[in-house]
Amino acid sequence: MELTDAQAERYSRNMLLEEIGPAGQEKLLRSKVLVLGAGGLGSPALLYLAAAGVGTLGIADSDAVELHNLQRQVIHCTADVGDDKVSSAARKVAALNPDTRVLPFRERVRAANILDIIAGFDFIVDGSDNFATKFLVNDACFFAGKPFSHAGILRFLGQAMTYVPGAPCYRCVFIGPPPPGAVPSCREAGVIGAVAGLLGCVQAAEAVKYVTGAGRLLAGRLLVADLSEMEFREVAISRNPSCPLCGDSPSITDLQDGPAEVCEG
Amino acid sequence: MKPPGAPAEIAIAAPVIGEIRRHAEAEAPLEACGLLAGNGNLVTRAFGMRNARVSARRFSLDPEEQLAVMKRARGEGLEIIAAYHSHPRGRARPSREDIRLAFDPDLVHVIIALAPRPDLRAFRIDGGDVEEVRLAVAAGAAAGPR
Ligand SMILES: [Zn+2]
Ligand SMILES: [Zn+2]
Repeated sequence: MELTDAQAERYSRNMLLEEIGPAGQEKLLRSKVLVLGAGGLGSPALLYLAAAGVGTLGIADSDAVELHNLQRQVIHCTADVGDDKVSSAARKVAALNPDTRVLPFRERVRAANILDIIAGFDFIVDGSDNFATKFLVNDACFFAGKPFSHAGILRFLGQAMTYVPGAPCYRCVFIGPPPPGAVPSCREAGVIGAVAGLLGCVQAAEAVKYVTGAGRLLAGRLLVADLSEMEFREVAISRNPSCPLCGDSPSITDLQDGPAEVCEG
Repeated sequence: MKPPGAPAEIAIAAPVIGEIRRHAEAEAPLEACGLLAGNGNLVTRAFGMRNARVSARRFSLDPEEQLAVMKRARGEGLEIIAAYHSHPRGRARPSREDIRLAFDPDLVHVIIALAPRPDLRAFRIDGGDVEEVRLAVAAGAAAGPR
């Protein structure tokens, strides 16, 4: 692959990095990254991945842009309210970087379709907004042998971890969805927009690192950020031999839709 | 392999803090107690237990219940990381009694005070030595906002 002059200029700050260089940039241009959810996490992830020159970006979301999304979902603008999130995000990606091809999935990710959706991608960014989908993404990526980045946000808190085959999975740590009522409902759970932005950028960085082989992935460790105290910590996590998914005698052997969360508005 | 002794810092998933608080509030004015388990130094699960002393000033875990909880945790592949109890009226500091009775130097001791506002802190206690353990709060398996 020969970079054009415009590409050489556009990506010069990537290629100046010893760990990336022209070879890493070519890997990015050939890479296929799927972003599940064009929301608080997915917005910055999509923008930074498009800007970095990821050649194919999948965008999966079934929702339309609503006014209360704009506080943190920075890929959508006021004029996009009412439009579907995939189209809105795809327009920004196209405006930002003509090198990036968008594959749209205007559907809700479910047990029945997720394996087909993730099949063609090198890396998955889980920007979903509910734990049923987070467990589903984990299970599907485990079965398909795909690496993915998890992130979760709540109030001033954010966490992230990266799964690659062989590393501890999300269920090694969190086992299964919490019982109903144990966590704040969607309506109760506020969040600082910048927390979503920060964690979405962490996920974009993990995708770029995975594709180029640069740095050390957030595998086997959970990044824990508390923006109210502005503290960043890392917790080592290990494979759980009793993990219901990747443990020694797993109880989860196929994909299931988790309990739907009741969420009005 | 974990180094011996309790860790100098742990993280707790936010929903677990809510569970500890609800347990403490439900038992007040009596002290509530239980065990905290998880992966590495990340607490993802609270096991609320009965206070065998049925007291507002002290607590002890019921040995039989403790064995059952440890078995359950092991069954889920979780490690017991900490023991928790409440100080319904006192501060979130180990009492002299807490220091004297700390039964396992490998466990972190989490104390939640309720008044004037909920305050949760963690300590390691070895012999008579008490050291505060740094606490990070993780989002946990929580639903994000829509
Ligand atoms: Zn696992
Ligand atoms: Zn005490």
